[in-house]
Amino acid sequence: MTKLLEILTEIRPESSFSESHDFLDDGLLDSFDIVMLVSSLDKTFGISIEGIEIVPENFRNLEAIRALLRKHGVET
Amino acid sequence: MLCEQIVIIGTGPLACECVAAARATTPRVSCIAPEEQSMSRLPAICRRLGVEYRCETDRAALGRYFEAIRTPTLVVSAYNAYIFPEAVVENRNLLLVNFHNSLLPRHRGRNAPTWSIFAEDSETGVTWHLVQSSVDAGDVVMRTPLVVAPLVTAVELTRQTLDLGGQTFKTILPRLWSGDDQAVPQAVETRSRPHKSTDIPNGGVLDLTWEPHRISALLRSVDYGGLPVFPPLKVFLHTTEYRVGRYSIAADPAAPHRVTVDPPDVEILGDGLVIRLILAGTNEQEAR
Repeated sequence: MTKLLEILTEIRPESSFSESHDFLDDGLLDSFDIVMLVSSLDKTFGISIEGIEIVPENFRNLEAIRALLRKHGVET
Repeated sequence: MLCEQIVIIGTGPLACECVAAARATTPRVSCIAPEEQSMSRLPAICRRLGVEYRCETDRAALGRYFEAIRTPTLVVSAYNAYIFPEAVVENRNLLLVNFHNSLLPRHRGRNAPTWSIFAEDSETGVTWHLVQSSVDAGDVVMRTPLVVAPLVTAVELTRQTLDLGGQTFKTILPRLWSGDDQAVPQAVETRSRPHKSTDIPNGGVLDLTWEPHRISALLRSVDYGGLPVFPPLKVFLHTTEYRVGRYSIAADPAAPHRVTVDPPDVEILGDGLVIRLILAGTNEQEAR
């Protein structure tokens, strides 16, 4: 399991993130989960995701989150 | 009153838990989101459970909807900012219960976890109460305490209270559904003015002359992890205004009392804490 999937599964253990193309539409994550995710990503990868980046487009699926991480210089 | 249907009003994780619990009790459940939420699980959960869902942001329309209900209905206000008008509260077909994330009557109104942290409470909790016309003032159905961890932030404590709200709702739901609306009046003498959404601890100003434990409490009390609940805290150094950008707080029992200010860096030691702030210029300064 990738580090990103590990973090997501810690936040919502009951959800199958690898099978979803839209975490929000599929009801896997909500705004509180995303805040927790941002905090975990910041700590794990030593980055600083800004408030203006906390928008649905950046957290819709694994690829969107990976793209956000790439903007911060992180390859997962 | 024996209820025949359940209406959940709310948007966040607590509304999701309440919808699931209600749906396990009866198929006659519907859900109303009183505000648009682009990052809510609620529409998907309702879809999955076959629960009717609609978003209604028009307060007058919401009032008319609740006023017009003629079937005995349990209405669950699940972390919901819509305030029921008098005419809805007086509709005798409704059993209205509201969730509040503090131990009422302490910290009535908005952003209760913020005020618990700012007050350095060692304990907070959740309250389910009947709805009366005054905000968060109704008789208590259930109060459940929760320990406030030493370095918890507002977003973390909010999440904890919402989780606890979901658990406790499952306990009270059978009672309410069967028409048992027994509740205990709140302690009138300790009621205070409810906090408004525009109220910010200490007016949003961080005073570096405060003891470190108070600085820690203020920083954590407005920390919603990027959710736009409060504007950044302000710090005044001589005549210059800064905003608090990032901060960190770590426990260090051996930390001596010391404050080092070297903008943009500030380090505050003491009370067993190491607090580091990064200050940013004001919007005006950055525009120049």
